[in-house]
Amino acid sequence: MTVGHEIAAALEVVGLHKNFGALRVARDISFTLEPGARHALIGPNGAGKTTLVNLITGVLRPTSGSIHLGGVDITRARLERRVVLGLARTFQISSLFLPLSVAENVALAVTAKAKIDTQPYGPVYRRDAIVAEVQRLLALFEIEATAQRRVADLAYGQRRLVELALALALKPKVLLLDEPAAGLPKRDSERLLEILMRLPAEVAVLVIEHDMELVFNFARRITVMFEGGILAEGSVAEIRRDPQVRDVYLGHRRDHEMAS
Amino acid sequence: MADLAIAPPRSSVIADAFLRHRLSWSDALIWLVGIAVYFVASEYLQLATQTVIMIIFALSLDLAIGYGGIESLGHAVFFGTGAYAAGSYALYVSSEPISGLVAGGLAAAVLGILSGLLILRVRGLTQVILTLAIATMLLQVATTAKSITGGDDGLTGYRIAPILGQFEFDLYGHTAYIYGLVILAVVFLFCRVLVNSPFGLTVRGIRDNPLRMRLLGVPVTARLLTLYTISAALAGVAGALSAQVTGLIGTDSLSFLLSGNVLIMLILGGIGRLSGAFLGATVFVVVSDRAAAIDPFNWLFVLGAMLILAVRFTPSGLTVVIDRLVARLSPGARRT
Amino acid sequence: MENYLLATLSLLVDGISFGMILFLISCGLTVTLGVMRLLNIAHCGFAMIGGYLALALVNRLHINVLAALPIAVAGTVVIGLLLERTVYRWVYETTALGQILMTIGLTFLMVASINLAFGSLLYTLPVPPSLTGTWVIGGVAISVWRIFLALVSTSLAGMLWYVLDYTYFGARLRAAVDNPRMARCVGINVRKIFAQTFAAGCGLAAVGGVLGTQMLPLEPYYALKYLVLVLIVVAVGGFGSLKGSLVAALSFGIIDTFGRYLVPAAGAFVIYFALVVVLLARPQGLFARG
Ligand SMILES: Nc1ncnc2c1ncn2[C@@H]1O[C@H](COP(=O)(O)OP(=O)(O)OP(=O)(O)O)[C@@H](O)[C@H]1O
Ligand SMILES: [Mg+2]
Repeated sequence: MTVGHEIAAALEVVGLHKNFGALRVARDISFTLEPGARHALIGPNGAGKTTLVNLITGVLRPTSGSIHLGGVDITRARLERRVVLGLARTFQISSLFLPLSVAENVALAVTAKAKIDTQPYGPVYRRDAIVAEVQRLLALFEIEATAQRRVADLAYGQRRLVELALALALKPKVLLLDEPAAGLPKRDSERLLEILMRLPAEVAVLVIEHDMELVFNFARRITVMFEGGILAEGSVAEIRRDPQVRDVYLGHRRDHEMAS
Repeated sequence: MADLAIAPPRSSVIADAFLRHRLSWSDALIWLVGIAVYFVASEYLQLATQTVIMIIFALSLDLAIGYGGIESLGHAVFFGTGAYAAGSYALYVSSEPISGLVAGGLAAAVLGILSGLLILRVRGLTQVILTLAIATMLLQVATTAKSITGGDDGLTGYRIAPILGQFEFDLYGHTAYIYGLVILAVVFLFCRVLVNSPFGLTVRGIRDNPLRMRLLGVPVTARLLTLYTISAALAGVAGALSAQVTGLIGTDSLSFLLSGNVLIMLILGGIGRLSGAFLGATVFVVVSDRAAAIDPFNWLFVLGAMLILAVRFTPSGLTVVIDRLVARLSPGARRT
Repeated sequence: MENYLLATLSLLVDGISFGMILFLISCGLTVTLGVMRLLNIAHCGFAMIGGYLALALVNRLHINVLAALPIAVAGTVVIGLLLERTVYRWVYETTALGQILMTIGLTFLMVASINLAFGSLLYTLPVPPSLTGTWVIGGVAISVWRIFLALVSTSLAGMLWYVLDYTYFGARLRAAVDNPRMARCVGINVRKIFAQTFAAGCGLAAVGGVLGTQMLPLEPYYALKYLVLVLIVVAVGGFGSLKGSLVAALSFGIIDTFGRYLVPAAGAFVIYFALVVVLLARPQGLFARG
């Protein structure tokens, strides 16, 4: 697939299918993220967006199709190998280490990235490199004050920020964000956008979001999913104009938001 | 005085957010009591040595269950293996004690790797039952292989040379107790370093959310296998120590009852906090010795009732209860 | 040639009767694990209690084992219900490890009580005179009692299936095992069903305890000694699967009987080896749900 390309795509998904019994949650999904892509994935509830992230990260196995990460075939690779190759994600429903402190949560990602998670000596709190990196990440999201609190005691919105800090700690080449702004107050959501904008230029980012303001501000290209398939793909302007997209998603969404 | 007014470097807030097993007053107290026993209660030294061995055993189990979340109801298999290995080592290779401990630890570590490869493939109740099944299988092997283990009669008749060629084991158990206490100190310091380290943090992460750990790029099973092997080796050291100071190894060192007892000690004391092993093992060994001296079967009444009441009323262990008491007495104290 | 066949038949009857006794003792535990995710270490103790109640009746009242059986079973059910109402309330509320510890504690209490009442000797219950002896077929002896055991326990298992598959109670229980939360939502009182099932499980275990003393003799440590057998049956069968438990118990009985006969030296751990292999191939058991 990559033969003839100068630089391999950061992420390339070809003909991905996934069935849960009779339910087809992914049908013939193909798309490419170039290095530095700022891509949004939108679609109504139940369209299969989270399932797609699960397929790419290896949490679910595809029924058929292939996934390449930086030119390497990872269709059958183990989860942890994909991460080592530069793939990171966040969870729509945050998935953290509840009994541990915020700093410990972030440190888990930092030590895993630095490949020092095997070292049985030298207390974590005396490793200046770890402590400094944790501090940098917490400062980025302005959640240093929560460093000592257990994640279990945090509010929902703050957990989302910790979730993001973990993903960034991995310094990924491809970053998949599953509804990072859901449940965040307006101020945090704007802050989030600011942070996303400042991500290193070469990182390919795929963000799933229902917050259209964030999507239109952040993304350069948009893919629209509907009932497990890709309905449309194009630039922000193209997607905004597409009547079909308006029908299944934007229109529906607008009604929905007005109602609530 | 002026120094105190200067704000600490900002990162200390972060550094303080990590679990740390600091040596505190309570640690000092434990070791003082340990040394005082030697001088004050010399007629109870055998019991005290027994306690020390059980503390090491409980510490090893705490690494597996409390830190790694590996639920084992068959940990005696490592204790027994360490004991038989140390006994055979003394019989056939050398009567030198320190290398005997290493032999016990190594034998248990090998078994830890082998059984870890099996039990780490499953989780939860299946894991509990599998550890129990492996322990039962080895107990059957030990009972059958009379030429190695002496079967139900036990393995005995080996001699242990003086420690470092200097300190002879005496009839009153003076040397044995100090020997045990020193080994305990070494094991404890090792555990402390381990749980404070990046590896210690990693296994706690795996315990709480293994899928997320994999999505941080950590090969979860490999890390747990390392932890389980370390835990097995320490249990083996405890068994080897027991074999050396008592001069007898029975098949009960592999039994379900021992596996159950050490779990009880750990939960009684408090899980996932090294101090729990100290408190739980001490309370358990002392109470069981007193009660068993009166009547071994009635002791089961006491133990049974104690278990039910302990889980009901102090589900997180005695150390937590003590922490709370201390916190109530000194309102400013920080939680550990 | 014919002799081998008959010897095999004799072993088969032994194996089946042993397996069926194991099934009776384990089936209650299977359901507790399936419905409540409760690893009840004390379960084997109810078989022991049944056995000892029958022993007391036989010794004091000089009645036949088969006459003592219903009374002993009823007694065990009552004890089971009482414990379910009291100690198990606490057990349900604690963590998985806490549950294991509490039920270990309960087992210790059972062991100590039995020892206090009956001493630490080994007992087997006398086989009723009408069922002693053997049938000799072509020079091979088959114990009448074993055949009787196989028949009785098979009919009990048949009744169990009838109750589960054809009664309203069975339907509600199956719903509760399948999906406790959903069952609660459709108005099934899972707690009550569970208490009834728990008591029934104790009763079936008691039947196994009373009838099985030739294979599993009574002693105070009975509750701990045979626990591993029962856990194996449940784990291999798959938590919550009665069919799995039946297959596992029968295979266990047959493999164990043949193993001890054919390779006496290795016989005792053939079965543990088999267990490890099965659980590795199918961690959720042979007949896991879902
Ligand atoms: N493990 C599963 N088994 C069966 N069906 C599943 C499973 N996980 C998801 N589904 C179904 O797959 C479909 C897609 O779900 P998915 O979570 O991917 O949607 P989504 O686009 O992320 O929606 P949302 O915007 O609500 O997050 C849904 O109909 C869901 O019910
Ligand atoms: Mg989703």
